[in-house]
Amino acid sequence: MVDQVKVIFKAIEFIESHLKEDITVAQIADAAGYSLFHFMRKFNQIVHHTPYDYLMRRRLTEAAKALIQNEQRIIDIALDFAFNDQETFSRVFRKMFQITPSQCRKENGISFQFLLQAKTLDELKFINSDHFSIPLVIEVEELTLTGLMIALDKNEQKVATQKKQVLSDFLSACSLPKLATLYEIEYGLNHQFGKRYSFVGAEKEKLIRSSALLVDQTINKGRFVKMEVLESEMSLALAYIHTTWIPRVGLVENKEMFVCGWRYDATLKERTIFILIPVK
Amino acid sequence: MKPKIIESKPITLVGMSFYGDPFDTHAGWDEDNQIGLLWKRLFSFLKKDTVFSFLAQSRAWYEVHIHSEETQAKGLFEVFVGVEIERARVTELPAHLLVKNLSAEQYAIFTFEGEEISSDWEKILETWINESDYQSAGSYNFQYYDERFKGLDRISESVLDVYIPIKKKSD
Repeated sequence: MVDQVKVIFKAIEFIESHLKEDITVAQIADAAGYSLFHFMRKFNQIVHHTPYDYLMRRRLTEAAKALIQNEQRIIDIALDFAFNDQETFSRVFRKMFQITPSQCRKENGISFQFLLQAKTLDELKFINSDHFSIPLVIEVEELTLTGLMIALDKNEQKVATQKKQVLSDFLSACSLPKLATLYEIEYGLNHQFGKRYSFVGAEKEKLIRSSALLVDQTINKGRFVKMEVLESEMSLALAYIHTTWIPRVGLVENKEMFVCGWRYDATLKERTIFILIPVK
Repeated sequence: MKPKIIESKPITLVGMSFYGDPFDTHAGWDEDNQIGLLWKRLFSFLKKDTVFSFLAQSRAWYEVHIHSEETQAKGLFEVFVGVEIERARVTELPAHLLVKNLSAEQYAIFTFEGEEISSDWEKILETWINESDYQSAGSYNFQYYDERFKGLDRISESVLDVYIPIKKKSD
């Protein structure tokens, strides 16, 4: 399997270096050294996208970045990424991102979570590992949490430190029973407020000691996509759910927030976390 | 691999068809990709049809992959699965069933056994045709399933013939 993942990764690299050219799926198959039919089966099995779907989503992602980063005319961006005309480009752009290219430019963007970045070898290995289990769609009851909220920095590198700090502040502001579940909620994925916020807390009724510092947050009842992964795989799992699994099964995200949770056990070297993403 | 070259009369098939990426929902070697679902749909229909249910007892079945410009560009195929039928009976067929006429006069037949069946045999076909004295005589190929094919769960005991329509390069 590892060898096949590497061959398909070659195809991914070929796609990356030809995003702006009018390449065919047959040419991609050829670059990987497979017949077209066999390549389509293998690509789908390993990447969880059809080759053409992957090519289109990668082009649209790079086009979305171009819309935000430069002032090129929309038609020129469309032509740059091998779309024949602006109408086709706008239609498929809307299908992927639920907004038009001009809205994307005006509202300054699409959150990075919804952009399909080029699949890395690590991501392909993750989704083809023996312990990988596909996400599930579940119904979640309303849940009231108590914890701390912070505004996240725009610099992604600082976010991890911020989250660590707020978790530590929360743990010193309360007492938790052994193996209580901790929740982290991230808000503002749709860039509506131009800011992202993070909340860390636990179920209100399970807290042994609370503090006046803590605030309540509610996870509303609804449908969620749930996936369990090792903490070290969280960013791979989030990218997979947002940009591969949810579009593949035809669900639409409620792009306001996502939740992750884990059993609080300071003795564990690596914890298993669950991710909950609300869907419509 | 050296194929067997045969002369053939036109073959008339009746069956059902799928157009798209056959692996857009499932990609494993199971029966749940679009081709597996197509076979299930055909068997289910034939078994219930009052006039043509006898076809469900056929001993040989065809899976035809039909290529077009879109196949190369987007990876979309027409896949047709079906069975031979007497030409005279074509006018009696119900709307659910399609007819395919394979008119080639010459075919190269490749025989794959056991695990070869799940390998990239199309690449073998491509390589052979590029290096042989023949060229493709139609934008399709077909797999021929008879009693030698024991099922996907017994692939190691199975044999599959793949036909490609050919003509001499000089023709």
